[in-house]
Amino acid sequence: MKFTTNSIKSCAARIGLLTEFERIPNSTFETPLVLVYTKGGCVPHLTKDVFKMVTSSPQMLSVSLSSTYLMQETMKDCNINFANFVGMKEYINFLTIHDPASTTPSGFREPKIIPLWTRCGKYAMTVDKYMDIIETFKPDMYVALCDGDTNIDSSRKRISKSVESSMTFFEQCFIKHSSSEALKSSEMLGAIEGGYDKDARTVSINYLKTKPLIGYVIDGLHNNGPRVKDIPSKQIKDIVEHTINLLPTEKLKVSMGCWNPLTVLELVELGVDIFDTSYPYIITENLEALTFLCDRDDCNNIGHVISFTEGRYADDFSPICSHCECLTCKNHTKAYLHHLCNVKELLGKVLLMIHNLHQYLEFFKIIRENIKRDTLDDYKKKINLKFKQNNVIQAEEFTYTKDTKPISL
Amino acid sequence: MLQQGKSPLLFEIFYECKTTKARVGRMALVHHHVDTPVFMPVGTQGTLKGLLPQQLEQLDCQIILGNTYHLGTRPGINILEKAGGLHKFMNWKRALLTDSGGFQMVSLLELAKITEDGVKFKSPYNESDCMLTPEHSIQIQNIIGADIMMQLDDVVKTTITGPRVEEAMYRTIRWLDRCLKAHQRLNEQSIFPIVQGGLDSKLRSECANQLIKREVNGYAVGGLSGGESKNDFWKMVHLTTNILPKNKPRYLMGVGFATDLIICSALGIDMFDCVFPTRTARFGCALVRTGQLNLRQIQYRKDMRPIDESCECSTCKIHTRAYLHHIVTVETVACHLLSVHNIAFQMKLMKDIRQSIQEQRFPEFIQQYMLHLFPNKEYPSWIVDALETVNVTLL
Repeated sequence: MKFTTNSIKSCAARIGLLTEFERIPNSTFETPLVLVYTKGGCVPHLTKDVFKMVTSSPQMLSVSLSSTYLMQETMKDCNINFANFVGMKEYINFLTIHDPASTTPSGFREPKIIPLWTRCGKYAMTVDKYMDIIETFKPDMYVALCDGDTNIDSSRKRISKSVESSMTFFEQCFIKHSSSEALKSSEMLGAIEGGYDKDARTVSINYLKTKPLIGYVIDGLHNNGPRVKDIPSKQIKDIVEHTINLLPTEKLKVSMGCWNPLTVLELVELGVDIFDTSYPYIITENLEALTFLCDRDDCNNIGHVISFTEGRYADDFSPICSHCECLTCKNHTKAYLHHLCNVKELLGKVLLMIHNLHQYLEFFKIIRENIKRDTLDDYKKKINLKFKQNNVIQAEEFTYTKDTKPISL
Repeated sequence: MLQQGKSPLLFEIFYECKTTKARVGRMALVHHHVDTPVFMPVGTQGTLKGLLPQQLEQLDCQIILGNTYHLGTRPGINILEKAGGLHKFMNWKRALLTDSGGFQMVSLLELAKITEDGVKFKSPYNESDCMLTPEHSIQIQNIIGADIMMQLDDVVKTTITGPRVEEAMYRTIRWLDRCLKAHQRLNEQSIFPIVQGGLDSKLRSECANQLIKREVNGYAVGGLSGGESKNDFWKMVHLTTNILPKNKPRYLMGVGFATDLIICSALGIDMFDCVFPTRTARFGCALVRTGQLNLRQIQYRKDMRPIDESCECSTCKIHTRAYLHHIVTVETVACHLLSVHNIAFQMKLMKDIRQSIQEQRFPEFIQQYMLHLFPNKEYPSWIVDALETVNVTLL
């Protein structure tokens, strides 16, 4: 596998190219890239034939060990790798430890062990166990075992512990990886830890930057799950800027988690190359449809999402967005989606996932186009407005209820 | 009744089995044609358990069911009327059939009471008194706009005996006449009367004989498949199809197990419906010729075969039993994958039935199927008896 980028400046939006995958040699991906989030080996709510209706292009899948760990014994005994076992062999996969869409419980720390949370409880992951599993999965890309249990509130002690143990984990994983015959076609990435502490980040980076790696995962900024979407970009800007400044420019940078689109844009501007689609999944689980790309007046989509728990869509026979090219918008109305959500029919989430995933893949296409045209800054302002308008409307309603004059816009 | 224009249902029989009462035909409906004998999957609330209309078309479904009671409650007739009917609301371009709403009301609502006027019940939402009359049922079904509608019938439990069965049977006939009178879209929709009469041959015959005097496009056999013995069940079907006119489609309500589909096709039934294939999918069960596989069971954990090697569905082409075992009842996708397979299974069975009738080898098809199902030839007696009446002797 190879990553190339023409960027020479650190901390700038850039276009890159991922090529020469061992398993699927003719696959290429342009960055900034969004990995398609999977759970239990499938795109949530979408069977493979429906997923192919959403996108016929090659995609890279994000796979979490926590949602697939229970399959490893079968895979090992039947001598089949992950891509083949779940029937997704034509897609490149990237294996992470935790599920970006569900909150990783904090704590439960023991020496030399990372707790892995599955639906059947906690499993203690040692380096040996982890690398055994990796050899069974044979992912195209994966992250070295790491302790990313830090967030904005973490203590110095916790942060330094996470940096320290992650370095030890990496050292051992790297030895195993380098000598593994089974992992010859797999790329291992290193995880940069250090929470929101610049000194700790520096220690982590200084250790990893000399290693022969294709790239890094900027870890330890959050504990995954839906609340990541509420993290404002100003919270992470400084620490990510510091991190990327110290990392080699030409290397791949990955940031997992359901960041909201504004934060994604901020991270893209700082030079992050890879994200995942856990955000549209979280939005789908909330029975919401993404509308932040819609800029047509006739759709009347003022905010960044619309929620089908709201009764006002019950008799709205227009699509979510009349200019959206997704299967849902081409075939179904908001009234039908409202009905399906209201009666808790499975098709509701299927149709929302189709739309939200389509929108998010489009979002990344637009990001790449804007980088190429050098107009990302303008685009960011435009998207910003979509989120701001939501806030203005809320403020307006608030002032009305207080029986005062609305704020003039 | 003066009908203008084209009939909303034209039924043509192409082949008749020379041994049994089975036939192969085609119903031309307003929205789509339907090859019979047909199995109709049930899409209760304007959707078929997580499947897209495109997937149903790929599975070769020509007609699906909607439930009037559910649809009338949510989204409600106002929304359906504004949408221009259920076809447009759910974007299903092929044929639809709706039930009358009566059966669900009686089975779902404890407080439902049947009077001559209609079914009286308390709204599950605001406790107010409501009444579903035959007129009201047809009015709702006219709004929903399905190609085939069912009359409101007086349903009694199949296990009940005595004067109540007789009362329900005669009331069903009276309600049919009210339904036919209330029907407003004669060129687009057909009402099917429902033969009732419990497990009493005399009452069944009387009901069927009364109903065939009405001018309708097809008939349903109701009140069966509700816990009665298989022996009673097949005899009622056999007796009813003997009375119903040959040139109209016959619909056996609520029947969908593979064995029943084969035997009742042999007894002259053309249409079937059942929630079973999609319901069992939700519980992790996959249909196969020998019954069903419960994929939750530990024995499938390392089973790298597809559900059925010979099945052409997308689930069997892509996934193994072992993978499905790991995601059933965890991921919604597992439910969708099993629904696809189970519907494909039903569709293939009906196609095999049609093809063997067409090629005049239906009796052999039945023999082989049953032998496969009961390899030690310990056939249940009802199967032997039912098939004997249509001149098929098992191997």
